[in-house]
Amino acid sequence: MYTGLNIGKSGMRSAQKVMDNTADQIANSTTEGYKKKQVNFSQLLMNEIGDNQVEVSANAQNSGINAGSKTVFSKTDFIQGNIVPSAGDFHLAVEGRGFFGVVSPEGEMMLTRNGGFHKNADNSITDDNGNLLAMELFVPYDQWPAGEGYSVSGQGVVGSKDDEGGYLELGRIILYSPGNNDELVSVGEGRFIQQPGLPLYNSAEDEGFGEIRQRMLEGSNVDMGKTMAEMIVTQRVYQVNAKSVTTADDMLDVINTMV
Amino acid sequence: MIIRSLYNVSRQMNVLQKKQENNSANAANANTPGYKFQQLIHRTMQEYDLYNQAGGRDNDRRVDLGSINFGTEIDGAYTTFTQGILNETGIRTDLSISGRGFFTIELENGQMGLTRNGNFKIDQQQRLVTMEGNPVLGMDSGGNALEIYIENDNFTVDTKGYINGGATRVMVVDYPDYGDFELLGEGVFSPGGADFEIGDGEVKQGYLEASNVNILDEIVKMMEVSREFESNQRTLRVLNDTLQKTVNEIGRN
Repeated sequence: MYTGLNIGKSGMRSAQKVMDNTADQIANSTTEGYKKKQVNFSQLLMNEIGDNQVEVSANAQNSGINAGSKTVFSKTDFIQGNIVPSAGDFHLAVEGRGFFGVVSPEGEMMLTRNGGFHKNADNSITDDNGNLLAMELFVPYDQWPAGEGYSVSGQGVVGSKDDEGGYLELGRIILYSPGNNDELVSVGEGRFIQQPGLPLYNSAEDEGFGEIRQRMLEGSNVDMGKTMAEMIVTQRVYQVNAKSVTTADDMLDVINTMV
Repeated sequence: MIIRSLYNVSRQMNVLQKKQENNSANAANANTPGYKFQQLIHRTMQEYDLYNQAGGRDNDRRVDLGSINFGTEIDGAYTTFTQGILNETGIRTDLSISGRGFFTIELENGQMGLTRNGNFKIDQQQRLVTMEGNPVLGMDSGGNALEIYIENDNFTVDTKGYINGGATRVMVVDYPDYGDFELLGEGVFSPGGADFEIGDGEVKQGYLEASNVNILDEIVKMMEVSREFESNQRTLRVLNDTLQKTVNEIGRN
C-alpha cells in the first residue's frame, strides 16, 4: 500500500517538474532568441507482483505494475521564432540554420540565437553581457569609420560608407552550427556551448546556413496558446495523482479502523 | 468456516490494494508519451466441493453441501493498445505512429524492444536514440535491421518511415497478437517469440503520441476500488462480530 502512495507521489512530482518548465516558457515568452525546452514524462520500471503480497494465479501473465513516472529533459526545441523589426544597426536575426558565436571575456566560445548586439566606444561589437560577437575582421576595430549607418548583408558582411562616400567592407559575421543541436549544452541566458570533440561548422567554410537580417530580432519560439493548454493538462494530471494519493490514504485509513 | 471467511476477505483486500496501485501507476503516467494503460484482472480462485459426513441414520454418510471458493486472486495484467492522441511538437526528432505498429529499439542486452514512445534524440555518434539512449532501429531496402545515422537535425521522415527519401526507413513492426508481449517498463515491450510483419501505421514526424489513459476512468476506478475496499472492511467487521458472539455468548453455555 505504501507503494500506492509512492506511485501517486512520483506522478505529482513529475507534473510539478513539467509545470516548472511551462512557467519557464511563459516567463520567457518575449525573450529574444529564447528556445523553449521540452520536458516529458517517462515511465518507470515494472515491479512484478509478488506471491507474498497477494494471491496470483499460476498462469498469470505480465503481472507487473510500474513504479510510476519520472520526468526527462528531452531536448531544446530550436525551431525558428518570429522575426520582428528592431531599431539598432546591430540588432540581427538569423533566418534558418546557424547560431551567432559570442566569445566571453575568458575566451570561451558560446552560441546564441539572440542577436541583440551593440557597438561599443572602441567599435567592438558585443552583446548585453559584454561577450564579443565572433566575426572575421577585414579592417581592425580602431580604424572603423565613426558614426551610425552600418549595413549587414544576408551573408553577414558588415559594411559602411568610407570618407569618399563609397562602400567599405569592414568584416564578416560568422555563423556557427553544430551537426547535432541535441548535444548542445545550455549555459543559460540563451547561450549554448558545443561539447569538446564534436564538430562545429561555420559559415566561412561550410554551406547551408541561414541568412542574417539586419535591424531585426528573433522573438521567442514559445507558443503561448499551446503553453497555456499544456499548463491546464499538467494541472489536471497533478490533480488525478493527488486523488490517487488520497485514495491510497483512505484505504489505509480503512485498514486502521478495521476493528 | 467463519475463520476461513476472514482469510477470503483479506485476500480480496490485498487484490484491491494491488488494483489501486495499478490505477495510481496509470494516473502517474497520464502524461507519458506512448504510454498504454494497463488493467489488473482478478478472478475467483478454484472452487472446491464441500461435504460433511453427517448424513444417514448413523451420521456417517456423505452429504454434499455444494462448492466454495477461497476468495479472489490476480489473474494477470492486460494492456490496452488503443491509439493515443497525436500532439504536435514541431520537433524533427519526435516521431509517432498513427495506426498499428511499434518503433523498434535495441536494448542493452542486444534484444529487440518495442515502444510507441517516439520521443527520440540524436546522440554524439549521430544515431537516433531514445531518451534512455537505446538506438532506434531502421531497415535498409533488403530488410536488414540497422542503426539510424542522421547527418544533421534537418532531416525528414515520410509517412512510410523513409528518412530523407532514401532507402533506409524507420523500422515499424507489427504483430498479429499483442497477447505474448512482455512488459519491460519504461514504455518498452518485449515481443515474445512471434514473427513480426511490417506495420501499416503511418509515421508522423513532429508529433508525439499522448498516453491513452483516460483520467476520468482512472478516478472512477479509484473510487470504485476504495468503496469496494470499505465494503470488505464492513464484511470483516460483521464476521468479527459473529465470531465474538460464537466465542463469548454461545461458548458460555
